[in-house]
Amino acid sequence: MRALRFIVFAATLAALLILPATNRTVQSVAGTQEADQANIAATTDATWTSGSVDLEGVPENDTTTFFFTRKEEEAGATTATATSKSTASLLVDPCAQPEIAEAPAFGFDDFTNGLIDQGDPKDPAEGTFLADKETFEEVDEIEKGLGPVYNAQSCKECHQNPVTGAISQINELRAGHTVNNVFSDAPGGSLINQRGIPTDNYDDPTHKSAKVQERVPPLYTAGIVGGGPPITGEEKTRTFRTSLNTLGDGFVEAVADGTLVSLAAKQKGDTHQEVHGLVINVPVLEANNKKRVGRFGWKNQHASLLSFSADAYLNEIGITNRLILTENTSLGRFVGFGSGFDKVRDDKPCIDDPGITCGEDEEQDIDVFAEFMRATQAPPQDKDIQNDIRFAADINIGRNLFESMNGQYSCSVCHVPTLQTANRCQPLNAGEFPNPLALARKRFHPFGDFLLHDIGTGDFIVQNGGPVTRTTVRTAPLWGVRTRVSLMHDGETHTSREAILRHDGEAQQVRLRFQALSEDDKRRLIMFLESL
Amino acid sequence: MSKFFLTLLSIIVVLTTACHSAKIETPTISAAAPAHSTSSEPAFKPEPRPTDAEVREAIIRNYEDAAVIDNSRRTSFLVGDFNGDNSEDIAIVVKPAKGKLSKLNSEYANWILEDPRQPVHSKDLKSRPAPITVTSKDSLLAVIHGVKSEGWRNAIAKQTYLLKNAVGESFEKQANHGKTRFAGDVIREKLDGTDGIIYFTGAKYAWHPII
Repeated sequence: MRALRFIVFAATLAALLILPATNRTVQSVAGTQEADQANIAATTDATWTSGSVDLEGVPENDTTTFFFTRKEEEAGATTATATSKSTASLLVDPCAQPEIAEAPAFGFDDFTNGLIDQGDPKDPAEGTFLADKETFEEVDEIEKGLGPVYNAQSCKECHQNPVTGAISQINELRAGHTVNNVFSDAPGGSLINQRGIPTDNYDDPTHKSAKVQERVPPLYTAGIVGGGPPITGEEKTRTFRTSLNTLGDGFVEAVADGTLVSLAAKQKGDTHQEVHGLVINVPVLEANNKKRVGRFGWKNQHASLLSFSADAYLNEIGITNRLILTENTSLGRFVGFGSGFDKVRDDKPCIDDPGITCGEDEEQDIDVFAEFMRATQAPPQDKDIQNDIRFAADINIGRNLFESMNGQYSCSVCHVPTLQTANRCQPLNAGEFPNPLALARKRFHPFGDFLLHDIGTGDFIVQNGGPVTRTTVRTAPLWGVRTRVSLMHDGETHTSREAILRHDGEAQQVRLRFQALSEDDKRRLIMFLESL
Repeated sequence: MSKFFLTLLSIIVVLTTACHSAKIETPTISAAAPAHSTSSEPAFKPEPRPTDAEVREAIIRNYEDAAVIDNSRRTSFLVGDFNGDNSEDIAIVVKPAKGKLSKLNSEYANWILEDPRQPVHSKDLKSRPAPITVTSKDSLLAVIHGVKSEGWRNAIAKQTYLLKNAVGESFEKQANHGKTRFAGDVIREKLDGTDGIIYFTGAKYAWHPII
């Protein structure tokens, strides 16, 4: 009897241990299938806590991989090269650490940062920078899977000024509603796609209509799609979001989680908690949704460039792919394959790897997009302006003011001038991406901290960061800001001075210091911004 | 024996249910938006009615000697939470001080000068809107955003918008009550005979006629 009891107990215990593990597997597969969670308002906060993610080789109290001022960076340079190896040993030892070096920053030249070969301009071979760029510029058509709802036909529509990969004047629209400070998405998600493919007329099939077009509800006649009811209830929380730069984003991806965590802690300490960047953990789609510190998108909704590519290919262009196989809805109404609107199947295998389902992205373009962005150089500063004898002295004073005003912290505590990437071979992206030589131990100058802040500007949208992120947006990295006509996350501001005056909340003290500057110093600070 | 199995069964049921509950945390997409309303009343507690001295002090703090309160009007200021941040703001009718137009129009000003009725993006490039400039005859609305519980009285309440063509008749604050898509109170008034509201968009003040 005792033996029987023991067997039953042991079997039960085993079942209890195995059951959750099985569920996790099922969950993660389901999670991969429905991996558009970056665009759905999460109900739980994704705030980083100690031990919640791998810090990728940088301890959480590090002070050597980010610098708020030039002085700090100069001091850091003397200690930084201790473990580096010679160029010769880099070729022999695949994980020998290179010297810490400046990241190449001629992003407007259309030239690789060294991650991949440049390629022949006349006929670039597959896997080269120029071939990847062509794919990034490719215009997708309905036959390929475009839409049914979408914002653009090509990556470069939103990332093109002044070169492919940079910014554009295009704004994305998001909407939802807020009740008692709780945000809820518009039906189908907060992203309101601004374009849709032509659809059949029901009454007169000889002519076309536009039935899948999303608009901000209420739409009293929109229920005609799928025979559903009208979409009532006004979505009063709305915001525009400007297109973001992707040049140099390979370096951003290569920043260790520990660097961003440490930066947030030092920022808080240096400002007596006045400024407190929020670090969130978000799923890395290619790593079966394992978490990493978010850094891409206005809400830091992505942590890897491949996840970002998969998201954008679905949500901006309407093409399902191996990481997100579920087609977008039109305000929550199914318009994918089988609805009669979308003509392209979402279960097609990858051409090069038939064992994997690639959906509408049979050629696995998402991998090419990610590789292209990883291979771009950082946006350049305007050295002509910075070195012009008429402006140089003023710009230098402006830069000093950017780093410190009235002897206290200034803009650079969030618009961080210098970050350093992780070591070579360091596994990044939840272990999916060993940091390559071209991106390893590079210092670059984004003038951003890639953290979320509440500076009184909203945008009141919640994505995968959870409710805590509702009033926050990511610090706008100021590299290449001189190419922007519309400023701030919503593009609603058109001059640097007005952009600064809009800063409130966590940035209130710095804005007050700016307001206290003399006219000459205000001008100098703005001149420095004009050179970025 | 049966007690043992019953206890074991209970443990299994409890643990299995717990595992199942944990699994369905993921939020789902609703097929159609339910009717909803926005939280209406501001959370801040309105302060006592401002004194003339307090209003004057707020103007001097923000505009120094460049603007003065326009006392020719029956109502020269309104208080409310116009930007929806739960801190009391004030909107004061002012006029340019003598000889200070250049300061009011300065490109280094500490305020954002706007015309709520002027479109930001002109549809017709040939009739591009002229730059907004304060003239000596203008009556202006100075909106000063409050900071924390002290609101606009706070010595660091220095985020301010100076609105041209925004001062009209029947000037009153209207609590939002979810009527606009933004959280803040609005200014209800008649501008050139048209009834409407001035509201904060999150980035700027805009005019919305009520027809």
